[in-house]
Amino acid sequence: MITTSSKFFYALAGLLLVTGVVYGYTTGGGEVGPISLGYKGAVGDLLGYSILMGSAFVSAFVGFSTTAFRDGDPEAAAEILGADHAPVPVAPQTSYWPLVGAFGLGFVVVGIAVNNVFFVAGLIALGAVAIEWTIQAWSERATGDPAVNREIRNRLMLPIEVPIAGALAIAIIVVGFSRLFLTISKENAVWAALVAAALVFVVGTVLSTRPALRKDMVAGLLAVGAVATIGIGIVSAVQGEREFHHVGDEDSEHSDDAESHDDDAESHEDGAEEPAEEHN
Amino acid sequence: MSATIAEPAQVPLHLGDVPQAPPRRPRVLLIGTAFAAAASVAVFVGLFAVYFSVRSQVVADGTAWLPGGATIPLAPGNMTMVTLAMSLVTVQWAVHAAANRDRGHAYTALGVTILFGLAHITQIAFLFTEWQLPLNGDAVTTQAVLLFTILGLQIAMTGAALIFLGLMAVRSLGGQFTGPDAEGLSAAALYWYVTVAVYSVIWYSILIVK
Repeated sequence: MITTSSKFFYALAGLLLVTGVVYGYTTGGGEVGPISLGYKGAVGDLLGYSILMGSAFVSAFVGFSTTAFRDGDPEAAAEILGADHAPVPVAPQTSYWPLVGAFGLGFVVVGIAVNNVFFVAGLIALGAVAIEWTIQAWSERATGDPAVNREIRNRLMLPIEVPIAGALAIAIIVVGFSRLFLTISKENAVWAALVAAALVFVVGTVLSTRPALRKDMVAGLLAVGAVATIGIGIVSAVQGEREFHHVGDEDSEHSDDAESHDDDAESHEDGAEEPAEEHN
Repeated sequence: MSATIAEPAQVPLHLGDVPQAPPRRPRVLLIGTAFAAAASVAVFVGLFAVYFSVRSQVVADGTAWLPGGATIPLAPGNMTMVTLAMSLVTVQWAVHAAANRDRGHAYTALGVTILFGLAHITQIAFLFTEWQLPLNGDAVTTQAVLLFTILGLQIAMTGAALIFLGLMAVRSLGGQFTGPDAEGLSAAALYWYVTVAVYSVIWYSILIVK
């Protein structure tokens, strides 16, 4: 009996096979080349023909596999388990790790072309996804009680996750805001730091007064903050640092940088001898 | 002033008191491995399509496919094909032994299979040193890029299959996947078969036909 799940793949294989043959004849194939995989006669455009016929083979392979392993056949499943009937399927819980994995894969691809930092960050993300997703899948089936399963998972992973997440949060904040402070002018950096600190204080205060707030909402707020911080850091890094001058540097008085002019003007007005600002 | 701090809800972890997990759907690992193997083959399908297309254009222009000085010796490719063909027997031997709870033979067969896989990688690495196709500098050619990409990816696939087999060997050492629960070992063997099948296509269409 052909199982339900394999019918789709057989149909797909047949469709690709016919498409490949038609494509071969319409792109210059001759004699029985497109039918005999090029044994006698030309197959036409090799690139398209190879992809179509190869895809047909792959679809047929999946179809054969699902048929051979009786995938989705309740009678076979019950027989394997030695039960009277097949087990009721239990849907897995929602997981965001595939999403993180997709971002990690994207970072790896972009990193290969652009920057090693993205590449390494992508690899780290993929490693984290592999571990977290595996543990989640395992813990969901540890017992028949979802609450106990969550507790088992947390006891195993929280001692690892909390320190790493803390270190990561500190690194994101330090790196992200340091890029911003190094890009904007010295005065604006002070204001930006004040606004950021005030924002953290206000949001933290509001959250603390609402203990009944849903965890998802708090997590969402933190995620938005993290994404915003990373975005600010990336944009600032792309813009580049502002111009800095060492104390006593003669060129500082003739700098094109507006901030340096301002500082110099103030210095002259105040009669101070130190030009510009110190190098960080 | 006495302040009371609410205790967090404690979940008892006396596993004897909690219900067992419901039986899982059987053969999920096998089906998943079949899909993973199909995805691996799809990657090679794309690479083969590019290879055949570029090769036919070069040959149609009346020039030799391999650049001057380059040669693909037959011995390493043939020897590794024979090696992988032998590994098909040993990996099936491992599955059969595990299904019959014959742990000694299962470990032996797995060990020999992994040894064959490592020998395959060594022989392909030797082939890389023999075919005089530079991959860097000004002398790099399209042929070199395609050949190194396809065979390099096949080595990566072999590595993944070996890791899969090694993992199953370690788990079977712990008492799992013996008898009727030999699904993991069967899945690893399935991926191994596909790995060998991919190499057989490379062997004939690239290393023999050239």
